[in-house]
Amino acid sequence: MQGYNLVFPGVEIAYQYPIINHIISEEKQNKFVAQLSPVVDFYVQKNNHTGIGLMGELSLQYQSSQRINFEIYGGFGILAGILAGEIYEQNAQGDFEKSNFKGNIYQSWKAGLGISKSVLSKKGRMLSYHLRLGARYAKTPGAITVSNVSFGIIYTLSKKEN
Amino acid sequence: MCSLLMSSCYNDINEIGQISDEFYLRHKGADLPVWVRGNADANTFIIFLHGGPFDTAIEHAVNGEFEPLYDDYAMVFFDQRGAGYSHGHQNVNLNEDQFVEDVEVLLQLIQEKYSQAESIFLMGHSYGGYLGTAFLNKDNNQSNFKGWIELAGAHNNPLNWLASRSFSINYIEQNISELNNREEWDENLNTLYNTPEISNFEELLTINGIAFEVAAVLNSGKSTFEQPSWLYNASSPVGTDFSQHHLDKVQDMLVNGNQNPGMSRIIIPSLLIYGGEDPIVPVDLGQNGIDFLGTPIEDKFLVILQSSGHSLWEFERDIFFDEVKTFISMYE
Repeated sequence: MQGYNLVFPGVEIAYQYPIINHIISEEKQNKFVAQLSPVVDFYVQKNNHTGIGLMGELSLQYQSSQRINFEIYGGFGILAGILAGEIYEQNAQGDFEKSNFKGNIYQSWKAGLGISKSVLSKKGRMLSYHLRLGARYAKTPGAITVSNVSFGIIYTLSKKEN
Repeated sequence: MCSLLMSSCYNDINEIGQISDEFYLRHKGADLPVWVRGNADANTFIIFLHGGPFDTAIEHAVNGEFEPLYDDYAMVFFDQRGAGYSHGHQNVNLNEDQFVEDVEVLLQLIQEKYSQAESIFLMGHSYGGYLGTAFLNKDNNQSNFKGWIELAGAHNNPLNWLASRSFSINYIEQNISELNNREEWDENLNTLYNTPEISNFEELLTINGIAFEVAAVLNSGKSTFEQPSWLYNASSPVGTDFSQHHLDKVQDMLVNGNQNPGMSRIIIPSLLIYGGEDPIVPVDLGQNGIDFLGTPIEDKFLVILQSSGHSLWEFERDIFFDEVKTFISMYE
């Protein structure tokens, strides 16, 4: 018998909307902020565990006066797996037909570091674009997957800034 | 011309005529990844059964470990249910009958998808030897294959654990003065002495764990296969964490499973390859296989690669692949 642990990198694209934006401390125009957000992400790991995730996420950010932000984050939610490639299933007659791409539903956790840039939209909303490096862990009864590294591009839409 | 619903030709052939097909077989709750690699013009296919149980075959495809066979044949790598990066509800139907049935359905899929597969060989490594033997033993499954290639196959688990224990004891006794961490090896030796039989899963894990420690020392630096770089492994598209997390569901099979009683029914040409420096499935299983297979004596072969460990194709690679190719050429 052999056992080994393999982890693999993935890429994610996400959209989040902070529902809580709590300023922990502020000095001049630099802020230390805690954000709580629902996040929808599309996670891609070639040949394995690509999926759509819905998570709640807590992010601790240092927001500089130049609107360049540094963060650590953690989140929990679900990942609906999508199988990459053709899926063949045998029907009652013994012939093979192509089946759907639905994969497992996983509980998913993630955590990591990130850097982002905030800009003010024309409508007065604060938008942030994050580049993240983190780890994702997903589990379903009978299956566990771990990503040692995930790269993310997050589009964050905040409430209208006065 | 390929049909729309079921392609009878390859999905992906590169410019030098090599196949790179990847798809899933969905069967009774499991989604089994299947990778086909090798010669797009080949009429001879090799279906590979990985070991573990619950290891992975796709990893072998990713690493190119069997590339010397790709010029002449097409190899089918698939991860069994609960293994590697198979998906679906993996914690159901984890039993020998289902594992065998999965291979049967996979075979049907390969035969339907690749109509040019005129000669099919079955190759099983380690636990894959047990599974392959069980599969060939059932009904008329063996009639679909031109030959059986068993690589360090553990088709008789009770015999294997005892042989593994003996191997480890002999190795440690003979080399104890040169081994690092003397205290730890003394402890291993005592553990082996105090485990004269393997009657439960915990004892099995003990014996097997020490065998892996022996292998780590014995086989160190002897692999001739150039492993992928750490960066390649880090970016490898395959794998799930914590492989073998279903072992507890197949305990009885692992402790007591023995295919010997039915092996006389297997009559197809057979090549058995074992490693002389393999403490995990020692060469004793090779002679056992030859003795119990029903294949006529002139059509079954035992090859011992004296300097090879458990992953046979990594050590004396030239000899290994020559033996496999020679066997296939005799019977394809």
